[in-house]
Amino acid sequence: MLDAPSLSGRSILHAIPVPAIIMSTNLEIIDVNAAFESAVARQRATLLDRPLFDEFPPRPETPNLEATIRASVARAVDTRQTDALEPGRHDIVMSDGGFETRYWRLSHSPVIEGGEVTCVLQLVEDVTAEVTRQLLLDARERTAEEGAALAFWDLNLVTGKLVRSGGVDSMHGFAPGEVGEDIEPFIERVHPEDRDRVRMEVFSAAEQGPGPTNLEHRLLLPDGTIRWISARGEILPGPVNGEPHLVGMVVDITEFRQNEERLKTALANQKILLDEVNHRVKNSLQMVASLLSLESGRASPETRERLMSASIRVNAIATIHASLYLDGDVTSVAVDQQLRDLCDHVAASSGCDVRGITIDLDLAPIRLCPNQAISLSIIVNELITNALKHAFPGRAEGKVQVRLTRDGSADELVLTVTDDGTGPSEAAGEQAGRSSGLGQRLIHMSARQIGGRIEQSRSPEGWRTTLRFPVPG
Amino acid sequence: MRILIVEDEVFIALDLEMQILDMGYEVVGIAATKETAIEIACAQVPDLALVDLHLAGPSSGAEAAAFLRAELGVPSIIVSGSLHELTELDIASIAPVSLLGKPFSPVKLQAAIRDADTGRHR
Repeated sequence: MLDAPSLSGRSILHAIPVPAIIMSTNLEIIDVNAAFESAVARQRATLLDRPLFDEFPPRPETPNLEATIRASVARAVDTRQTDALEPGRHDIVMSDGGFETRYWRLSHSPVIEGGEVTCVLQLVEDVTAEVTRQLLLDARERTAEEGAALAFWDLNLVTGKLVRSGGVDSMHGFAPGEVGEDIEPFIERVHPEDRDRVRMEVFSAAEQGPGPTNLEHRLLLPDGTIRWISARGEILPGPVNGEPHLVGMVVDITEFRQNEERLKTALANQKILLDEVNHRVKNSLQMVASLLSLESGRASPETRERLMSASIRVNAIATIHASLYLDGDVTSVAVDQQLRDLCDHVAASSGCDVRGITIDLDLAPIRLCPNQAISLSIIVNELITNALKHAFPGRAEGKVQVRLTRDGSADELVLTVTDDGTGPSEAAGEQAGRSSGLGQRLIHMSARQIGGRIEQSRSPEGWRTTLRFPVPG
Repeated sequence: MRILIVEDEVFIALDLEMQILDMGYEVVGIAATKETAIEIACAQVPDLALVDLHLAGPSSGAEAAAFLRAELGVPSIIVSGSLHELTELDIASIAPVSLLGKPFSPVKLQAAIRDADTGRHR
């Protein structure tokens, strides 16, 4: 049982119209008045004889509260004078268990009886309104500082009252002073397709409580103009009844969004242009192949053969661009399809079916970039035409096999061209050697160009040339 | 005159080689990358290089030509379909004998090479 002040002392406590408590010098609550009860939403009976900080434990935001108050009480007792504190924050627990932000101005006064300090009177003033008003002003200033060119606003989420800088009005197409404080005219200018989303996001921000919130949406002005705006704000409790305010800034991002659209369109256009270029290149190359072919018609047999072989080489490149154009993908070629076309063309030009020679294809569905595809095409062209020219001298039939596979373990592609005719060492005459000189150089240089290597060997199926070259993944 | 060809397009390289040989000059090698060009140039020390600006992959013809000029004193004729990409800095460090745009006619190529030959002996 603590030393209690006299009954009249207690009565005076209960008459004080501001929240007040009497506590012992070591901060145990002796008595509280009705004003204190309602200020902190607690029952008197639950507080009597309880240590102050057991009943009002400091919150994480205010870890130094206990030390500050103890120090103030100590000063009051020592100096026998009232010690007043600067307003401080101490959130209180509501009946539903939640916390409410409160700011208090405390003072401690020593009660002297018989020359001794018997207990301490604490007066508590709720200054939440004063403090939050100041915080709101500070937030507005912060916002204004952060963006001198930006528009800021302060929306009372309960009353729908909108305090704002002039930029907000002009952004929404209003003349200065044209609309009042109500948010409704602004909501009306939100694009109809975005309105529901905007309403929903504003109210869910209110429910979420403190923390920044972001919102991007369109405005539709009466004259049909569409603008994109980006609003960013924070929730703060306001000075009146703690009504939540959404305070923030808004930026016109219409130009930014338009640039995005322009970029997308430019990309699409670029693809169309690339298509167009590939188409033209394909046509040009085919023109060249045809020109050579035409010339060959009026030439001597030897010249004709050279022109035709040149025409076929040009065609090997032309088919690449044809594939690029057809595909829709202008950055890679389906080489299996393209090689098939190439072999068909070479076979037809060399009179394969008349000679009884077949070209067998076993090609994995692989895509390569145009450069690799062209090099591969040149190599296959040379190997096949070489085989067709020299491997079957005077024979009634023969077979050329072309195989393209992926060697996953080495990240390589493997091309093999095998003919069951005579190998190079058995090739008849130096005529064969000379005319394939350029062809051999083309094969080796093209292989080098794609980082590949050529090997020749005799296999059960016949004479084989193998090309291995690296491909990513 | 001994000439190095720096060109990654196979057909074009072989065509250049044939034309140079027809003119009576010697071809010391054909390089498709900057690295190969420098390698051959160091080994063979040609009198002149024919360099395409665009080489395979990250290789740079301009860098190869600049190296040849600075480290080996080998002058270059720059051959390219994209001469407009040459910066003032490139031209200063390469100090090309002449610039040939693609496609070039055999006549223009011959003239450029013969000029380089004459200039060499002055």
